[in-house]
Amino acid sequence: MIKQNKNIAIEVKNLSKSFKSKLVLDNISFNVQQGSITGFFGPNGAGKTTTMRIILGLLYPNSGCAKVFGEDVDKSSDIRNRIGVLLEQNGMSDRLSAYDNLDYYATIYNIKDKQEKINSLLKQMGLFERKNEKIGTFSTGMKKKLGLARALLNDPDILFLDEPTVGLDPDAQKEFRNLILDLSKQKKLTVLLNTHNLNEAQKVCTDIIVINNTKIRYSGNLKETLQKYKTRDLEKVYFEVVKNNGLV
Amino acid sequence: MNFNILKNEFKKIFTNKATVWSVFGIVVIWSLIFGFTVPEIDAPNLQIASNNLYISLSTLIGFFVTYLIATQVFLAEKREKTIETLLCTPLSLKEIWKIKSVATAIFAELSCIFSVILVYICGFFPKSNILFPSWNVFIYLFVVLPLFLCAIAGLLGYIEFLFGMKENRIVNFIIVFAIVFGFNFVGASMKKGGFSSWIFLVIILCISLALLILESFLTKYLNKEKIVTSIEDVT
Repeated sequence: MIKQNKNIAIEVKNLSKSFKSKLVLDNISFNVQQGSITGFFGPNGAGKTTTMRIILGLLYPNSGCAKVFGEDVDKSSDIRNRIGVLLEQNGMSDRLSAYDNLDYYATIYNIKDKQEKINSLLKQMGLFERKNEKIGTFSTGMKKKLGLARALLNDPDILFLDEPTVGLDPDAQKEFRNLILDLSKQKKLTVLLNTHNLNEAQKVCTDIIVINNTKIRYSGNLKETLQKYKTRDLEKVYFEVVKNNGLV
Repeated sequence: MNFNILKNEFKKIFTNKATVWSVFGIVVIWSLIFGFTVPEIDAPNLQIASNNLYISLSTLIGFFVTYLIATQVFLAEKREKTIETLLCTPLSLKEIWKIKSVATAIFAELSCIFSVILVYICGFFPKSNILFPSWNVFIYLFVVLPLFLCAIAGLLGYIEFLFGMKENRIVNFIIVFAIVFGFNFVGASMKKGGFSSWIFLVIILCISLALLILESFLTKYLNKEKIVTSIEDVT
């Protein structure tokens, strides 16, 4: 049983996971502080998405545990009510309009004044004018924005973003980044961001976690980390950590 | 069960116009084909023949429509990878399965009612021998069949959620084979067979209830990891 620290939003302790005989996560532990934007980095196949899926209760660990606000996401619908999720796919049906997609989820979250809420999010994302169009006709960037709107429908305390800017052009990436920063400031959201885009991460993250070869190789505050490595470049830190498997 | 979510799920089915039109076409064509074959039946057996046709055809159409819609409702959710996001909402896996099954069954039930109406309309044509259904047909249509369709939708949903593409392909093959075999049965049922008998109604009712109880027990073994890890096989 994990003792719940009030400032900790996500607590991962001694988590191990294997698929058949392949070990994906080996006894990993880390915390995500409330109000932080934590970048979760690692090479392809390092276990980032698996870790996020375990935290979200979509996969079950072989040992250890992952808690959000001290509770197991899979077992607590209250906690699922407090999280927003944008996975690699935006999670919406191409056959429905932007409005109907949001309405589908707003009904599930039992949101009061859902029409007002949906319209306000669509305006915030710059999609209000196209709310009645089927999202099958939307660009990748528009779908990602709509996915973010969906993830924010229930005013979550924590946002889980898995590769949110993949497939976006630089302008859309910048716009998306600014949206996350604004939201984090306005609503004091905690964000766990899985990404390969280190430039983007350096601009938004307050904390970083690096995973490689099934283990957590580094975790810490971004500013302190850059000072420690005497650099301004997160990419340099990342390659150093990955190359030396966390040994500085 | 939250009826607003059910309503939205039902609305979502209608957005797949290709499937909806396919269902409409299948129901119209089969109902008319079988509706117009009744004139060939001997006069003394007409009421039984008509009742048998109403019941056997609605069962088969219900089964087929349930299969078509369940594929869209459950399997497409995995194919489009929207299921992961849905599993992160406050709804439990059992609730998601239940809502989708009921929405599928309602759509199939409406198709069956439409089919019975079409068959009855065939009776207005010259030389047609179709008679108005007896009351046991109504009991079947409004009590037994909805339960049967719920059970079938639940079972298909369970299988489609749990298995990957290879397994689902095998299941699809078996279902299509069963449907082709079933249509031969509908033709034969008009001449003989006790589809409109009480025994048949009770048997279908018992099978439906047993399936629903079994499914309710089996959902304990349906977990999010099984669904998520079989997505890759589906896509």
